[in-house]
Amino acid sequence: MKHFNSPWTRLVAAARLAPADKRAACAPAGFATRVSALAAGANEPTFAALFARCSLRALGVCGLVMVLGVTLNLGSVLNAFEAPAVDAITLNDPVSEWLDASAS
Amino acid sequence: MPSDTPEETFDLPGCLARVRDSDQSAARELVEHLYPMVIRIVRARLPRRVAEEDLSQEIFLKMFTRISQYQGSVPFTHWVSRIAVTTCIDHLRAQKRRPEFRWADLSENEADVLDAVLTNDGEVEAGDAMAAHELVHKLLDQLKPDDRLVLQLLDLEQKTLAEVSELTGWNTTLIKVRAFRARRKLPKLFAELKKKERA
Repeated sequence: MKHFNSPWTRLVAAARLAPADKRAACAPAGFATRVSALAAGANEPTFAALFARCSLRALGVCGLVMVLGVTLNLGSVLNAFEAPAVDAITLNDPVSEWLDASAS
Repeated sequence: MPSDTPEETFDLPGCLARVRDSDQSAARELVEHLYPMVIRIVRARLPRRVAEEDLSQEIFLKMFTRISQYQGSVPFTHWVSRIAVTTCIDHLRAQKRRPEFRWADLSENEADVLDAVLTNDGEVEAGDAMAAHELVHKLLDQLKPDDRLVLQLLDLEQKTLAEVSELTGWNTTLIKVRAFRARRKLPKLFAELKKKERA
């Protein structure tokens, strides 16, 4: 214990002799009422808090519905990606149809 | 840690149950019951420019906000005192600048006490205990909030490592390390003061 007889130890030993704090330790008048009212007010649900809570729930439900929708229609979704895109474009392309008609 | 309140018959579990049921009169009773303990913690660790009543109010509001999280694994008074201590530390951390500690700012008594402990010429007189107390707080103000708290609890209030751990939530190894580091900073502070006195 190197600090055993240091200036700090001697100072702290002297400080401990100081008389105890004699200030009143009771709550000031109205303090408890004010604090309990503030706490009650803080616990009441505000519109913003309610909206945020509902929004989060709605977001969760939307995500679930989306996942379900994709899972149920997985076959159609995959087919749409697998279909030859070039044919679809040429078959329904009005410009190419017009060009074909004008050439013939 | 025994409760320091005069009402030893206070039904704390019953009061807590009523507070959880949003009973405002129970909340008032709880504040009045715990106020002496909370104000003692606040007064011992009050940061500069913060009113003790404002800080106590903040502590009680935190207590009410988190009361649903209280599981009963520790006595309720310990749980509240930990909230009080951490709130005080948060305020001390928020004070980025620490006041400069200059010999010229010390009162005559404080300067005498400091001179006595630095020169090691006998004990500090009992009449100078208040000055020593003030001086200790001025020195502690120079340290980081965590270091300050550890030294205050261990050296000034003479709490055990277990008690400090209970109050702060830090493990004993961390407390020992913080105390060691903080005590190492003190000789530097004393040396600086000595230098300033000569200057």
